[in-house]
Amino acid sequence: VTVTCPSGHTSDDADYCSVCGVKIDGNGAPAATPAPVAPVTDPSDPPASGETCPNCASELEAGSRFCEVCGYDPSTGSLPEAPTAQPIAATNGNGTTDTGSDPAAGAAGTGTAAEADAAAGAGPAGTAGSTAAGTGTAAEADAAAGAGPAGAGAGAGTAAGAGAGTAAGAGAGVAGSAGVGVAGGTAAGADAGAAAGTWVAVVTADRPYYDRNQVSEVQFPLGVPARTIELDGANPQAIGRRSRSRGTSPAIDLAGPPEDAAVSHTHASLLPTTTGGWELVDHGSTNGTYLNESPHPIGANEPIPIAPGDRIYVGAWTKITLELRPET
Amino acid sequence: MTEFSMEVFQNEYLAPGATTMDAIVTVTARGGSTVDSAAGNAAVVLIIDTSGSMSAPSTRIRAARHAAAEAIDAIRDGVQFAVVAGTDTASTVFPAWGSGLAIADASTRGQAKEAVKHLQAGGGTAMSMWLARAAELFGSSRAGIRQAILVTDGENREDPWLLDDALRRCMGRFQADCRGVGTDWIVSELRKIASALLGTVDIIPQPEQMEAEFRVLMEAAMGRGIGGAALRVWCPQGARVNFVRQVAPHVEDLTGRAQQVNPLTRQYPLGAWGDEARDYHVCISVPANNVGVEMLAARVNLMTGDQNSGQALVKAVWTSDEAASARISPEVAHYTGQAELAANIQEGLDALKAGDERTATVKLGRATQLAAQSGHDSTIRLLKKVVDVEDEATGTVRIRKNIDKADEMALDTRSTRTVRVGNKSGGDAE
Repeated sequence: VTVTCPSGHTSDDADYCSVCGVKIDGNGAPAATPAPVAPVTDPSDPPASGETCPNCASELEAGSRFCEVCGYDPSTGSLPEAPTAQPIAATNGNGTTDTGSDPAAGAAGTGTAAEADAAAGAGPAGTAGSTAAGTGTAAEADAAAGAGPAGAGAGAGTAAGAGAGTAAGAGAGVAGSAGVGVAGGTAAGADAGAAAGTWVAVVTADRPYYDRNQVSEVQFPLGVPARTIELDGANPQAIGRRSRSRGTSPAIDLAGPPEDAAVSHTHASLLPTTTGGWELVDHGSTNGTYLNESPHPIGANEPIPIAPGDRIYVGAWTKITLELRPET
Repeated sequence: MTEFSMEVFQNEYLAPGATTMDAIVTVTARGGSTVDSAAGNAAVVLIIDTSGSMSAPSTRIRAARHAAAEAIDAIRDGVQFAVVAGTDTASTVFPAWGSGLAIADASTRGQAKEAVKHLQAGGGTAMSMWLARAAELFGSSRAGIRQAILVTDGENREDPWLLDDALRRCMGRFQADCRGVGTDWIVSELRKIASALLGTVDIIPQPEQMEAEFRVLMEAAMGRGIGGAALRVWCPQGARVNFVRQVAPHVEDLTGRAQQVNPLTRQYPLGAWGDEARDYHVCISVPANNVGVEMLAARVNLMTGDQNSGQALVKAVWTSDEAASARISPEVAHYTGQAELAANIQEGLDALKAGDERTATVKLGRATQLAAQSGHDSTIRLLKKVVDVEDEATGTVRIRKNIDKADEMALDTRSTRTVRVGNKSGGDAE
């Protein structure tokens, strides 16, 4: 038996609405008359509450704890904490190309337009290829091809292989051209179905990235062992720093020791896709999230598909390499 | 048959605009150990450190042999078991390699006791290998209750990530109680294992105390009738779980263990249960509402497998009556203090290790004050072995000279133990 709550939700429970939690009286009448709890509609268009922020006088959104303009929390009367580090200059002296910005390169020269498009649309597929090129091993090239959005639906090994080959070509500016031919060639003959495996994030302190950032106020930590974190494909995997007071405890926790203080508490997340892959989204972090060797941070709140071998750079020195390890 | 009952302690009244709701949820299980429910559904793996350090002094390995035999005697008929010797690898002492777990009866217990008589100390310490072997052994069993007992006297000698990696693979597959013998082991290391594997950690200062401790651990493992319990927390749309923390019998943050059931519901694994009571602190951010509105901030269900075994409702009512909304639930206040007590002890001892006596004095002083306020006598006793207390009420203390390492480690390992509100009995379920 379902009941309708005072706010109009269909509730599975008769006592309190199973959607918004508001009390339901025996006949479904509102518990307290002046309580028009706004049903949550499209989150992109939150209803206004009719109240104004005591700090900046912007209109507050109903149901939102913080002022969307200045971040003021009316319940505690506090403003968000100041950023923990100076924004890091996104300089990159290596003259590398932005791999994600030229997806057309991936499509060019492949015979099967559909799969090639998928690979190109993925953007980072190019960079995945570039990693495979860099390491030059057939197994990784294979995994990269299979796990990318191109390989996910593609039974045809050659199609995915072609995707990987061209992707590697597109990413050549990053990885250097030496191994490209090898990776593309090997992948072309390999089985694209080999995408099954365990996704892991390998967290390391990366000297070249740290050097590029030129943050003198943060010391590069020496002797940090690589950490391998198995990704739980059932849940979003947060990247950030744990904080008891903020209640954050991200799966990929960079609070250390050593702590990368230039990482925001809630910095970014890896979101599992329905096809077993992952997307990377930055939550408007202070210092940004960089994918592979791109000099430009990824846009805030825009999920970007990622592929095995992709490198995520956050904070002052943290490098997170995503790997798809074959099931043993 | 085990029956669960649940109670909620909270002040459900919020001031206009307030959004944070705290509640203590107590879960009590009764009737589980009246029947021999464990037999046939329980598996135990005893992991004994036999690294080189166990032979120095040689009383340790001898004590370990006796203690292992004692623990084996405590295994009830029908329970599946194995004994693993840990060095820089792991070897199954009993039963023979490849035969999985043995089923306890007079004959298998006798064979196992014979096998542990020949335990020899030698080699390194690689705990990831020990845990991997335990996982493998448990993997051959269908038992609902899977308990490992890990005893070591030393520090793990491998890259930390290997242990982290092993723990990730073992989480949810079995539970582990960890004990450190002597003072050469690392509290944080065993706490990490025990915490990930939903177990307890403690110090066994003298080798000859192993026997009694082993028996207690084994009997506790046998006494658990419920394999996998979990707390399932539903929150309304727009609300958020700030944290879910076990606060009795010891403090353990469960927030990071959440498994998403559906967009509004998360589940927190609790492990096996015997006849015991545990308390949980649930903190929820709810969207602010109009005065007079009553809503449900959280529906907390106790799950045993797929079965719903109990329910508690955390409510939120907005009121303009300041006297009602300003009151803090005594239970919430008590456990917030207990969590702060545990944090102060750990931070104080860390500062002491780092040579920062000033911070250590402040933190351990605050800990003494909190322990005194909550009537936590056992923690005050432990604190007094590390600090000289001038005034409990104000937390005025001085760090003692010549602190016994074992006392410091006992304070560290037991720092997370709490007393229940009003010092009710059952604070330490084991």
